[in-house]
Amino acid sequence: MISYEHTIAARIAEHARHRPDVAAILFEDVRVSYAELHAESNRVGHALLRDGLDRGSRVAYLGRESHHFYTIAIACAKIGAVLVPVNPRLTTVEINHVLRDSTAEILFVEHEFVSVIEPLRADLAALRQMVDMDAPGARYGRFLRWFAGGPTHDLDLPVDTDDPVAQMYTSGTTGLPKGVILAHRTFFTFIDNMRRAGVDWIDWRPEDRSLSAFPGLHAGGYAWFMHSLSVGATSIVMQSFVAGEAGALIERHAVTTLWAAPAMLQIVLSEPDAGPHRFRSLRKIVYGGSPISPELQERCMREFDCDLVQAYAAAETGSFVTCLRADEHTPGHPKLGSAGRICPGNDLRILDEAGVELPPGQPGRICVRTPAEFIEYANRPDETAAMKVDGWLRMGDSGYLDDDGYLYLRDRINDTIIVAGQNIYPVEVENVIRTHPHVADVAVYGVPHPRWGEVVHAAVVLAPGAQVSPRQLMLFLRGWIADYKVPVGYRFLDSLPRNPTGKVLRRVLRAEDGGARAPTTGAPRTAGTAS
Amino acid sequence: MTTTRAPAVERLRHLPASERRAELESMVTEQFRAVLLIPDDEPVPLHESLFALGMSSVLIGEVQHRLSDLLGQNLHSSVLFNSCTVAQVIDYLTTDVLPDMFPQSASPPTALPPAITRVLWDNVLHEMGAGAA
Repeated sequence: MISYEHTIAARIAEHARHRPDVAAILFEDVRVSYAELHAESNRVGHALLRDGLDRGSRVAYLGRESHHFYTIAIACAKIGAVLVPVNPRLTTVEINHVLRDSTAEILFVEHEFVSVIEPLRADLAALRQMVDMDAPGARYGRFLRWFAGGPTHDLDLPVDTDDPVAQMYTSGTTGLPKGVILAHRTFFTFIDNMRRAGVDWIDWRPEDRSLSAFPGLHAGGYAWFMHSLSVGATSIVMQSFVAGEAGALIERHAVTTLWAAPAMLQIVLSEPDAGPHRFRSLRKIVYGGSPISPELQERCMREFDCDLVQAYAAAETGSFVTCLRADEHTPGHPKLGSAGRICPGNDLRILDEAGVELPPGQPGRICVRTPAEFIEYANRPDETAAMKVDGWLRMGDSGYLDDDGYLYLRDRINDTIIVAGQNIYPVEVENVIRTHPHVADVAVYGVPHPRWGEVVHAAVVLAPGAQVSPRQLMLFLRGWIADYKVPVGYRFLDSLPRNPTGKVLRRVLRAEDGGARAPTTGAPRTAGTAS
Repeated sequence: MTTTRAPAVERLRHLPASERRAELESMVTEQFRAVLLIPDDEPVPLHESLFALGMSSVLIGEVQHRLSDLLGQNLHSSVLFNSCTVAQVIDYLTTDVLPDMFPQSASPPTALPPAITRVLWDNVLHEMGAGAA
């Protein structure tokens, strides 16, 4: 049975009908009402159909955020196509992989990134069409021409809430990004379950003016936008996160709700022109994506005069799993070091290595059951099967529950490093460092950092007689991996510490760098990672 | 604008005006040296692009905090993103952050066009944007 009600297509049509003049998006000086967004995305949807795109087709977007990005996203949702956002700051190797892996048939690309794509096109067999968004002297001019004159009537195609709608690429355990496929339902179940339970721990209201510091190119920002859209709120869209601009936007548009990583909050608070005048319109800030230090947590409580909520989630969970509520953000609250309690509609348990459920207080693997969960990893059935077991998501984090059901995060099972909310798998960095002719062996690991949560360090074993400096290694890596993945610290060792079976002991390296991941710091880890 | 008692600022204040620029340059280049992993026996290029030197978004944030700590006041994060070279960062500090100590400075403002600022900030976007939903 088709369930259309909980689809992005149905929801925007409803808003266009019942509140057509309400602003859906504010982007720079552009205001897009729900009626306009609905009509424009219909046009783009018709143009996609005209060009041969269809249900299940992958539609890639390479560029920064704008109202047009979301118009394309909604158009995809209406015709049953799947949006594949491509972060322009990925390296050429990574962009090539994303476009190949997703088998994107059409690519919308901002003009300044066209030169990145041109050399790759011969390799991209599935890519039939590239739409350069910009014309000389006319930003977005070519894109506007591409769909101009098309019909605006509703598409009326059968779209189901379980249909895929977005394929978000995140760091992969094997070294290249993997596509997390999300369904329409992902963006509705959380709100429904909170309403059903009669709580507003994390909420979106029709009158909200909502700002996500996470970009829509990533699961966190995309999900936040779609949740806002589902209730008919107004989303403030930034081309990219700019600290001074974020504060100014909050003031200018009287933003009521903000979704950000702790590092972003720190940057916003540290701007010289930060102050109560900037933030007085805020009613709620939801933060997550990386650990927050107790110091920053206290500062946020002190300087933002609004509700603060911490959330634990991952791309694979689709939406929030646990939350530390606003009323628990008080100085000295006993649960401040936790990631909060399970949100209504979700379920959580802690398992040991044998899959046996553990009692409160005993740490093990965090497993989550949520109706918002992802569909699958693109082209990785084995990894999907390993992640989804008997209806539970096996998270990459370890932790424990206390007697009151609050989740305390301890460590990441798969050595994932999280730099300001961005997952980095050591192997993807190690693979590149190993290509240096003077490197015999290497291990990459995360070291706690007061601002970024963690930073990347590398322990390197050089080939006999070889000499290379940390700076030479750092410069060598540029262009091969995204810049935030490049280690900021290097050590040279005669050999790497290994266990009896030969596995590198990254926790030993971490501890030697003064970065043991101990559960006693009280700093909650808020970023979920898939195993 | 300069209201702090940061030791580095006090040290500059007690130097003859003619020596302050060199001392500030030394302080600032040491911060860049540390984050860019430049060996002690190599000079820090003053006029080379920060990104050509290997500066990343994480490192820019690190330098910003180091300089803020050094000077005892929060520096606008756009300072580093608006500066192409170490020399331009120093110019900015003398004209906009420590103007009372560098009254004769004739250095021009270092701001770049907004478009360039935007591109540089995208690195921060990238580092912060992904991962959790």
